[in-house]
Amino acid sequence: MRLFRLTTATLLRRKSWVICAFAVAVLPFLLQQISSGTENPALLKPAIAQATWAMALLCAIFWGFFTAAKQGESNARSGLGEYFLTTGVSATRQLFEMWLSVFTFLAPLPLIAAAVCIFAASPALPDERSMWMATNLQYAMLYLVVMAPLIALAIAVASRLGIITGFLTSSALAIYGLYGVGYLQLLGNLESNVFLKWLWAYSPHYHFADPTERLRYKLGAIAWDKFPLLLAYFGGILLVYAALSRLIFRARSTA
Amino acid sequence: MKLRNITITSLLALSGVTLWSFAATKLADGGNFNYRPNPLGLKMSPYGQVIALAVQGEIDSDWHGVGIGGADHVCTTCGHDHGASGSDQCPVSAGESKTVAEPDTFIAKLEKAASERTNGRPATPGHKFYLRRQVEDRLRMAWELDPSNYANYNSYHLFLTEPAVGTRPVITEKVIELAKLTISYCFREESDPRPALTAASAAGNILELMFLHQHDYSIDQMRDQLKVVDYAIARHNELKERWVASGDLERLSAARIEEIETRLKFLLLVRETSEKTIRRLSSPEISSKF
Repeated sequence: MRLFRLTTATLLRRKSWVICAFAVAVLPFLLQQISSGTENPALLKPAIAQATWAMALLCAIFWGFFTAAKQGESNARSGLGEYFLTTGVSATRQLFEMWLSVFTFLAPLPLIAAAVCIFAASPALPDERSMWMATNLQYAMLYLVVMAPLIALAIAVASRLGIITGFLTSSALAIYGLYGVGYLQLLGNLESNVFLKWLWAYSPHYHFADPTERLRYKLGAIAWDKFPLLLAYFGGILLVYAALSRLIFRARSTA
Repeated sequence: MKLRNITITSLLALSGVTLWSFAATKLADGGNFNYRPNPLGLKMSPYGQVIALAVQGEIDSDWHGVGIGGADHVCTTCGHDHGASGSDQCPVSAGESKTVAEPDTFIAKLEKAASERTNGRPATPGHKFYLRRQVEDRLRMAWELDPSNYANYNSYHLFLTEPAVGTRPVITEKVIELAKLTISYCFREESDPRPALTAASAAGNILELMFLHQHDYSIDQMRDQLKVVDYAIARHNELKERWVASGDLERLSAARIEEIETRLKFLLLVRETSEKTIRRLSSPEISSKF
């Protein structure tokens, strides 16, 4: 696990993770001051819950995938990957170790967001509160299953095509799955185009992992008998992306 | 080694695709794939409400552009343009005009220099149409961000119903649907008294449309609609009393409180005239006349 330790130490020293920690843990409390919660106190807690999860999503999309892409590219271009190959660390193993390192930094974000929601924005009624905890933990889990394979994809694409392509591939996929799919559906409703419908059905529907609306209206936790289905859905996407990343990743640049 | 690699990758891909399509079919059957996109949950959120307010500024400046008569018509008192005919009365009295007439900060001066219209001719019909469409789109967005905002909902309603300002002709059912969505959204609010006013106004708008198309609606339907207006006003009063008691009303600025009062007064007047209209329509002499 030398590459894992090296990557982790590098990311730790780079200190940009502090911004993410700040955005998820502190910023929601500042942002609520510019929400309409200042006029209507009933909205202060929903404003915190919304902001902390929105920040967690933004941090993964902008910081997480960028960092992953950066590691992927520098591993291939700097000769580090080649060095590890000669010491017997296979390409897949390298991909896994770098992925694990970036994931270690990203994994606490949904947990912080859930903690902020549970400690600072819990509903007052006891039965709603237990439901609130379950909702937050479910979404923390979904967040991890959604973001994990996208990190691997960013590393793999960047190792072959460079940092910008790696970063854009993963973040575009994430934004498309979170919001674009919905707009595609609206378009599909207007025009009965078979291709649009097909594209829509086979798109990664990441919006299932976006808790902001569910928390805002206290819709309650996802039914536990349906939750495994969601995990299976994102698990399937995870496996496909894992296969793709394995295919695309390379430990040394051919040039 | 190579073969092992290929096998693992293919197995991963195959099981992934199977799991993905299995879960996707199940989820699609349950109707879970249908949703309305809401980036970062901004629409109908505490942040959306603030953005919906902020959008009003842009709408204002665009709307102003629609009525521009050309550089020759700029009012000397307030610095605004009151149209080619000068028919609009200047709302600013000579005493308080200074701050509006000449921008005193550097940025405000720059903004004026960059945005003022120096062309002596009025805006072309095409440009005016473009600006009106721009306003309409922004109003739609503002309504989506916060359907309970009184000004945004009513302005959007005006754009949809008034062909002179709107750019897309909309059938009455669509407007009624918009009003109904607004009402149901506003009634979800359990603390702020202001959305109830928007609901009352939306219910009043439906009533007005019923009067316009009175052959399609029965008197009982109109009476039921009037009850919605009454309920919304009662709800507003109840929530406001609660806010007065808890001291939350003091969080609002004096201007906002005055705004609430004016809107309530206006809605009460609308309600009264609507009731009279219903009474007139239901009286036998009038019905026999038509």
